[in-house]
Amino acid sequence: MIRTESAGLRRPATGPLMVGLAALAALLVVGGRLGGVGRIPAAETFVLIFTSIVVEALPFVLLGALVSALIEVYVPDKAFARVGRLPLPLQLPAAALGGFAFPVCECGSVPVARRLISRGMHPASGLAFMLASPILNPIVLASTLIAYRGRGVGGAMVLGRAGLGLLLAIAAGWAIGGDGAKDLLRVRPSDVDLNGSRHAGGSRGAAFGEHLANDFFFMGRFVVLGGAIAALLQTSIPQSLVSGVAQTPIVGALALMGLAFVLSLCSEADAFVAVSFVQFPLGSQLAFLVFGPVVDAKLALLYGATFRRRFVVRLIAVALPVVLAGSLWFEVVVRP
Amino acid sequence: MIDGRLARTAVLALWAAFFAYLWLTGEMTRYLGPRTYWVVPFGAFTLLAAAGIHLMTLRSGGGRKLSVGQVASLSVLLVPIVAVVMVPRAELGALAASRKATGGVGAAGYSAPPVTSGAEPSFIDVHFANESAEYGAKRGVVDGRPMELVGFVSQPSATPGTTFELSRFYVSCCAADAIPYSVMIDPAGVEGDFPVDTWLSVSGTLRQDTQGFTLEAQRIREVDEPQDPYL
Repeated sequence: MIRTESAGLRRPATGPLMVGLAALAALLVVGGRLGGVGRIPAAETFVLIFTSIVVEALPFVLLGALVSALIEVYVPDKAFARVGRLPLPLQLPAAALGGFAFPVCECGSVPVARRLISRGMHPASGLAFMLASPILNPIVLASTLIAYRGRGVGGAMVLGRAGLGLLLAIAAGWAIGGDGAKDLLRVRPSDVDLNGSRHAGGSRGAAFGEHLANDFFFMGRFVVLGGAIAALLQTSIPQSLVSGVAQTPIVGALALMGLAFVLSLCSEADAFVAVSFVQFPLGSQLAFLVFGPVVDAKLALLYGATFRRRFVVRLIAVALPVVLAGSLWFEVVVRP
Repeated sequence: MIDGRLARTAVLALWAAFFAYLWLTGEMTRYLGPRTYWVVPFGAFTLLAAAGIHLMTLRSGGGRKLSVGQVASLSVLLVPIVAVVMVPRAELGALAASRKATGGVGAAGYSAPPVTSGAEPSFIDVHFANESAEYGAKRGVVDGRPMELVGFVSQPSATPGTTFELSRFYVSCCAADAIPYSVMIDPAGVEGDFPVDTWLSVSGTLRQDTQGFTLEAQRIREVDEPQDPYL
């Protein structure tokens, strides 16, 4: 059953509605300025963190939408059919390692994975690529090395992050991607509208522009909503709350995974934050670095809109034990 | 009735203009760290290009009228721009420092700073010198060293004339990953009221005791927030 917008939302927008919205925005701006909202520390902190998350993420969303539109319009079906015929045990690690070649944050990999799956790549492989690329890409690994070099564990943290990230991507892809594409992907009204445009003999340039915009606007609004939630949580919850459980490896790792979910940091910067948690064991810091790029508040909304119901719950059910076990094992290995 | 694609082109162009504004005014330093400054000109050009590409699809015809659902979706995308117009020049201050402090100072063994400090020792160096005398000696953060720091008051004096905390954030990619670094300031007789979130330039001499380093002030003056508020 295809879920589409309700009849009310599909009604054409009228002039008075547009004028009303513009007036509301103007009222908010003028009222906020006159009311001194900018002098309230919590409001300042929220706006700054919220805007910075969106400003940093939107170009990557656009990049992801661009690659997604290129795949949709310019890559022939037979290329995906060829990949799809490969045995899954070969497809899965190959797709996960493909993250090395796609140096964008997690926001950019979601539309690409969605497109790959809808074009015929095995869902497990598409998910493995989506979950691996924000961890395995060269920029992320280089920033991890720089962040931890001063503590003399740069190489170990890079290996640990890449290894556990790869393992998690393959495990989650295999466990969740068993469903067919139709059972995994949420259908969008725009997909229905554009159905067949690739083959209808219309202009490829027009189809490319349409797909690019559809993906950007679809993903963009969830990045905005997710950014708002992350900023709200950052403004209201002190990070020092988790410090009390720092010395217990299991609880410490769980606490930092929870914090990673709340903070919704870009994977290219999270190592600089993780290294500041000096009171936590290295294994717990690794849990923060592997769990965060895969599941966070911002991504939860994006996943919820891209995949069918319970995807986020299933992903957490796989990620939590894998990351916890991996981080504890890492702690045993690197402990001096 | 408005064409849906025209409205989407307008939103893309508006975002491109917002990125251009951040770039040309230098306001990007408020939201991003040096590692991601490139995102702003990149965003301005790519969003403008995307607006251009989308505008060209208008010529292919067959566009649908803007629906109420699309208006809601496009409005969500404009919320950050409205927020910045409503609260321009927002700052991370004492509240953010209290939320982002991990309580890890001196709680565990020495860990070198994740960033290369500049020529002159600053907040980050004092922070790590509190953890390691070896690091402090290497960076010249030692008892009796003259130092000047520019930061905001993150914890005011409990009573007039007593020590207060001066802080500044280090940002790697964006303000969401900001880490506060703080130094205790002893006004040492310098008179004045230093309320929370006030930007100050403090010159003085470092003093080391069992609590770590404190900057004993010889001169304290109120300054404007720097163009780049982060370390």
